[in-house]
Amino acid sequence: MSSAGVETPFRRVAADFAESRLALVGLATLILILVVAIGAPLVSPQNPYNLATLDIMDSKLPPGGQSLNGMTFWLGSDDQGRDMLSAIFYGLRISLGVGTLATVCALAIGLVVGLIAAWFGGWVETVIMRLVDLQLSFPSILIALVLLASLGQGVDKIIIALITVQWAYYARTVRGAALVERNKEYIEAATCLALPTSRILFKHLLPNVLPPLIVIATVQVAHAIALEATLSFLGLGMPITSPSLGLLIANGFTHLMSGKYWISLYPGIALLITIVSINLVGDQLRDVLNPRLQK
Amino acid sequence: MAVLVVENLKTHFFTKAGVVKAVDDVSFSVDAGKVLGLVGESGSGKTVTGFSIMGLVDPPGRIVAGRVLLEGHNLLDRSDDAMRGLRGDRIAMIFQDPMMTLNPVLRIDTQMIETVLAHQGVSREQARELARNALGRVGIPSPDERLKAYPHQLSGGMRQRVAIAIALLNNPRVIIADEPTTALDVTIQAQIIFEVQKLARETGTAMVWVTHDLSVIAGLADDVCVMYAGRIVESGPTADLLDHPMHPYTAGLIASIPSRNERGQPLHQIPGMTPSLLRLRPGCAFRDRCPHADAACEQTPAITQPTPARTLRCFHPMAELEEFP
Amino acid sequence: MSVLLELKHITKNFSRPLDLAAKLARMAGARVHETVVHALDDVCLTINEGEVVGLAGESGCGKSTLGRIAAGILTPTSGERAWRGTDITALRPDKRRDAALKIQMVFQDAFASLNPRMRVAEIIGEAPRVHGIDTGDDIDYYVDQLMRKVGLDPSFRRRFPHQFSGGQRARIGIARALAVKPELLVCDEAVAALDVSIQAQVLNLFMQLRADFNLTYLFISHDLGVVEHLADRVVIMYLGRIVETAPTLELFRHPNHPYTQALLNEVPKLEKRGHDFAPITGEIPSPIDPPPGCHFHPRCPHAMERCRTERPQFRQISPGHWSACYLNDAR
Repeated sequence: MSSAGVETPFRRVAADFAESRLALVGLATLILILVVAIGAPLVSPQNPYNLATLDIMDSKLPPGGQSLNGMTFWLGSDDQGRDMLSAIFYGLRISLGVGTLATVCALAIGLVVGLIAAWFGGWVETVIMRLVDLQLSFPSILIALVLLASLGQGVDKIIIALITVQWAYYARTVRGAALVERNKEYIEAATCLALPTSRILFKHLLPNVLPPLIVIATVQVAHAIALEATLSFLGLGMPITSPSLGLLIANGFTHLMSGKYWISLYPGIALLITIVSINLVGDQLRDVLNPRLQK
Repeated sequence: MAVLVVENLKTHFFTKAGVVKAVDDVSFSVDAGKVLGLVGESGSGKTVTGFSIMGLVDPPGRIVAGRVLLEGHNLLDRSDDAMRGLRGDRIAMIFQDPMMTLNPVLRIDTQMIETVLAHQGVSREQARELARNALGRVGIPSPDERLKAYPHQLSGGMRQRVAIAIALLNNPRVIIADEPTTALDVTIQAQIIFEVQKLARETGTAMVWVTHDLSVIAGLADDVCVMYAGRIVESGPTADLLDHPMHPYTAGLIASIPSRNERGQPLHQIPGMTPSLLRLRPGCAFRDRCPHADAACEQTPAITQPTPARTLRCFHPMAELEEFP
Repeated sequence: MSVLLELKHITKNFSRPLDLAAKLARMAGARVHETVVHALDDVCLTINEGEVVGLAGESGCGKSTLGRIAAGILTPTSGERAWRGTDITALRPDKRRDAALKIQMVFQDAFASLNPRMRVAEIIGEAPRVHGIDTGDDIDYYVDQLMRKVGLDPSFRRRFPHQFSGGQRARIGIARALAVKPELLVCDEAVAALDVSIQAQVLNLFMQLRADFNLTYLFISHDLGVVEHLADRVVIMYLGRIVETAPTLELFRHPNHPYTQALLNEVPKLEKRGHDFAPITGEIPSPIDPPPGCHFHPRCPHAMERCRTERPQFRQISPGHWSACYLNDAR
């Protein structure tokens, strides 16, 4: 008979997710990173972008070194005297913020485009899908570089570049999933009930096409963060006033050879941990959501 | 005489949510050349019984008790390797979906020849001859053409016939058929049932035919076992059981068939639903839906033998000529 | 008795158009052609108010396709669909929508026909809310009443489809169809996926609802026992065509078309113990490549030369009893 209480699909998924200890570790790490990133001003020992707090005499101190006013640089300081730990917290904030925002926007665009392609078919679908193919046939870094070269630098330009690079992937996945769902009886029932097309698309088709997208989106956030880091490393990304992890790595690159590894290494490790936890969570989500879809 | 004897078989599934007693103390026997019908609705345990006999139960399921005797030897004592040797040779299975038997990327002749060569020491040419004959025996016209075909080129009925032919290839002593015609059309079903009955008589193969359709059993089986919630509630010769059902569940099933009811009048119905096997209380599983139930039914009824040929698990059987309300 | 729905000369073909590569191949001389599934071939059906029409046949006969065309889910390749005498396509959009709501469908796979992410109360109440159907003051009360009517406990209104049993899901589907106050219900194998004991409950529900709401049914089923019990009139289809129709008792007592005879003979019956005859041979042909002339002639024991070339016309052989077979010409 019916299970006791109202068991929402979400609760089911959450219960299944919790079965993998590794994924739970990934989720915990991710939550920690998010807390740190969002609360960076509160958690950081120092605000590394308030020039008044910096002293050039504190520069390039190794991890554990003391600043002139008694603060400990747990992960060392960079060439401007900034605390690496604080810089990483602020950097996480920017990396995650940019990556997530770009992914969410790309998801929204891809979702709408994919649904329309699947529902209307015909030449609409053909045009859209050929556009998607075109987009996907270029390496993402190439498209991003070209865009940034023509648009110039800035946070908003980077986000636009990241969105442009990602939307096609979502559109293609959504179209595939929507084509499958479209033939199912509950969509036929909605047609029979003479519900308006927009309602069928967004109230019936969309929620059932979303699960595979959530999985892809989680992993794509990691991808976007990595791409932004690459662009920043190449000097085309974030401006120096709001450095992401990629820019931090770039800044410290020149000091690697002189033995001051911490300026590059720790931001690199932070980036790595972020991406790995996102991937762990995304993998488990995918495994958990898939059998449900086959039901 | 009895080719297959199942004694007190219990197969339980150990799931996160609890223990599901899918098969709970099931016993029956089948003689050579006879057809036994195993009848029940979803959740009755009929399919799991068939799988248990074949040794195809996967974790979290496990056979926890009982014996399955094939020509006197207990199959449950056999190792996995030994069982693999027996499957397809002494005992075979036909599934509801023929694509569970057929490999979609291999031609029919390849699959059939493989099956023969796995168990018999004959040449390829002899194996091909055996395959041809098997196809002919299940009523497939122009078997040479069919041999060269791939499964997707055949219709559903044809595929099922090929699956039956494969089951027959090595002259098994027992065939377990799990709802083989449920998904097929009436006219095709009729053909296959006709062929199968003929074959059972000719080759002396014992058959266990698992189905939910009493009418199919009426036309095919010599004996019937009715299952409910993992137990056999009633068994006996088909004609006797259908004409004189003793268990209220059997009587209810028969009474709810449309052709047994007056046109235009509401059908007799068994109230309620099959109980969840996870939350099965002790006692008779049918008592929540039974018109005869009383306090005595809180004990699990033991198997009785009201007549030499019939078995029954019930404290309050139907009286002679009594109708299900 | 007034006529509710008329399906006139409905033909439905499903074809997948050739893509660019295939078109190029054809231009280069390859013998590539579209595969066309001839699901329905010039089918005419009239449904009168208040009656239960049983539509029976085996796979490939087109009964599901015809049901979907009747319900407005599919559009015919050619032919006309008229509601109460007026061609539906000729109606204004709002009148067309009203007519569409009057014909509702109950599906075979209840689970697949319910949106897995919507709660039951939403599933049932969505269409009346969207279309502004008169549900009294309180739509929640309306939904609860409907749930009670089909045998569901209204306290389950916030549950999801996967939390119900098969029989309950079937009831949810029926409640959803009833919510828009239809006059005609197309039941496409609505009880085929249910256990026998639940089937009886749901069939009884259908009969009850018919009386309570004055409904008309197009009941599609492969199970002739169910059709015999429920239907006033039976229509038998084979490979995209209607081969015979008659009032129920008449059809079951005096089946005329050889296919109907074979079908009735071969249905397993509880009283029939052991097969004592050879059933009809041959497979059901594919609707992609149906036989010429009478579709049944390759399997018909009485096939004549004429049957292989010309399609038999539908002729009335006794009041209300029509059949498409050349054997009737001799009589």
